[in-house]
Amino acid sequence: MRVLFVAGHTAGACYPLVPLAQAVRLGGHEVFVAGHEDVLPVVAAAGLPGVAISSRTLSDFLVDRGGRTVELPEPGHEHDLAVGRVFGRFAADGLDGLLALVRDWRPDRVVGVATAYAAPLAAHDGGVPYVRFATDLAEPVVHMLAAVAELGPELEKLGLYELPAPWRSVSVAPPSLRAPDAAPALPLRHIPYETQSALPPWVHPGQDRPRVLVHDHGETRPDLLEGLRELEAEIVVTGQEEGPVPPGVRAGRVPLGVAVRPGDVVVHRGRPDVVLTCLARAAAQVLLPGDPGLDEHAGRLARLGAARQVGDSAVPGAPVETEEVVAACREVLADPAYGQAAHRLRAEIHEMPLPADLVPLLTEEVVA
Amino acid sequence: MRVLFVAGGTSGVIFSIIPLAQAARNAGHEVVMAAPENVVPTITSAGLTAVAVTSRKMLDTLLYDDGERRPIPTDLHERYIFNGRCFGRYAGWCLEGLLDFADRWRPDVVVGGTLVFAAPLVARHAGVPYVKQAVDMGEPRTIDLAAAAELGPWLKRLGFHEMPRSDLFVDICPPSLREADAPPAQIMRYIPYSTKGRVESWMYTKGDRPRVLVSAGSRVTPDRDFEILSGLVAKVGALDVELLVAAPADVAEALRPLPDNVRAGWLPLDVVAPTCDLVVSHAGGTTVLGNMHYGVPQLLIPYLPYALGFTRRLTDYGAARMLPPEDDSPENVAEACREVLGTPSYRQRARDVAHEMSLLPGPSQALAAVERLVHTSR
Repeated sequence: MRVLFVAGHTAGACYPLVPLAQAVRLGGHEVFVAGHEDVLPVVAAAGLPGVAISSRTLSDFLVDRGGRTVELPEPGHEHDLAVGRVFGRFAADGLDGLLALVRDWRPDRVVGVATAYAAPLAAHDGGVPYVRFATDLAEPVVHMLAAVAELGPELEKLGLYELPAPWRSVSVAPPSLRAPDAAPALPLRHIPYETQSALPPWVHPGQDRPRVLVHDHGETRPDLLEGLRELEAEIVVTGQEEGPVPPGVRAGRVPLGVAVRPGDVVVHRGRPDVVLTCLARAAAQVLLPGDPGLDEHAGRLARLGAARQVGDSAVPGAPVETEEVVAACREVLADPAYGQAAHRLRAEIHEMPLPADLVPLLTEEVVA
Repeated sequence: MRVLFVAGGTSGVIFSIIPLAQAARNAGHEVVMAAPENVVPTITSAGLTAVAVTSRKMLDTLLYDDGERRPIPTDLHERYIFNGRCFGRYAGWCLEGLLDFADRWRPDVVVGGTLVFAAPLVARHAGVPYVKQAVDMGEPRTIDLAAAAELGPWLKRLGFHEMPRSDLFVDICPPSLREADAPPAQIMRYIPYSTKGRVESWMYTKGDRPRVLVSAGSRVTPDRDFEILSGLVAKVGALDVELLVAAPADVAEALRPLPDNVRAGWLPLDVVAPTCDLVVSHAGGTTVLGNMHYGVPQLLIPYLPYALGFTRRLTDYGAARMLPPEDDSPENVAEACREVLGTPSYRQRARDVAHEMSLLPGPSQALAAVERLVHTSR
């Protein structure tokens, strides 16, 4: 069978999909992963064949169809609508490439990440069953509704009045963390995956001093690292190029999923793939205010006891005092309740079917 | 559990063990593949975690310490002994770093490809089961024996009186092509893997002319085995076919200029093979297996002696035609291509073997055997 996966718009949006795509391939099926050119290195680095459907990038669609630059409003409903429309224009841009690929390669299934709205359209056009792949974290329904509205002209061209419903849905969110309004889906165990690189020896030290890992994907603040040094832990910065860090702090392009171990504490901004990787490794989390839309699952995670939120979580990207982060890390390291909650969520994840278990369900015959 | 894969020193033999490693990773196990530094990118670009254990390269085993080339014997038995000793030497170079890593990471099981002789030693050192996985359809056994002899001093140092035997052998050769005396094995379906690059639409679509792929495996460089490839291109390109040449960029450049019906460059076998009517190659292990997976007829010219055994078996089966290296004149190769393209039984037999392979246990089922082994040995 031929299975076409449709990637997300960033590396972080692609990572959770990789284990399933690999598992389908290892099941003996032919797999292609379609995506915008800028995420194809992520696809190739996962050992998967990537096909470009457009060379433009997400930021190109902060311009509306009339060529006017779109200012994103303050967080709230208007913001969600505007972001959804960006995704819609992004999907419209990749649609022709995806339609051509479906026509030429003739896949038997199309599996797309939930935010890749071109996937159900191209699947419908090719008469191919569509599988929706969701993290069900930070995928607000308004994004989807606004994206589909933006895609109105494309739906019209294809003779559609609404987004075609998926044949199957898959979700990697553990049940207790899943958005309460998420659509029913087949559960899939999250397997931590990020682009890999050669590991420095310090990653596997042979002893178990706890780690506080800062996974920020941006400029990591030197003052924060300086402050964390007072903790009884090894301080590690993951997910960034090696740069200047205070003495004794480890840094490198080391995948978080490889460097983090049960009982460690991860400081990050709540991106869904990072949240899931922490849970799969039974690590506790200290959550800084992140992008709009991340506060919802961050709040649920805190209520489940596996994370501590710092700063004003209602204000996306709000600055946080170093002392507050350090104090939160100290508290999480010292209080076994966080680790216990993280272990409970990991146990929940371990109950979910593995990628290889899902392959027969996604490739079985379609009963009309 | 923690699964330590030990990689060989060239990408061809690493490709074979990637499916089992990915399957282990996707089953939620911690997986690290240890390898010499120069092949680490091959591993990480398969989405796997890699740890470098030596800065020396497999090809350096062909040199003396002073950089002089060791003479390669022409006598077949001597050549196998020579090859085996090279593999043994290479294992020795990996061991220092590998033992140290195993001490720190404490694996629950070690998986090594055939010809990776550091794997059984590190497994025994760590006191965990050793799983051996075939990397192609079998090599002459003298190579293994000579590698063990070369590793004598290491066995002594580690206090072993023989090469530790495998606790589980995972074979990727379909049963109807295994040697009559092949050892018992967990059979695993071979899933083709090769390093990925950008996929273009011409790769997965084809025109009306028969499509022929010429591949010389992934080890070709302009200095090494190059005449084999350029010779094949000239010979097959003269036919009325669409010819694709799988070669690294620098090699493809050296082949230019090319006629209109010929394309050369990096090619993902798993993307292109399903569109091919014939593959011509020097019978590299993973190339042959990959085309079997896709049911493509093959013309095999086994320039390397160890490929002779499985080339004969596949030829006897009817899914391939063999041309002895000494008969590789332009006329002979073109004639053999014409014959395979014009004889439907090759396609039928190639499809038969592909069908047999499709019914074999996949990597995740072979992994279940590894999990059982670890479970029972605890």
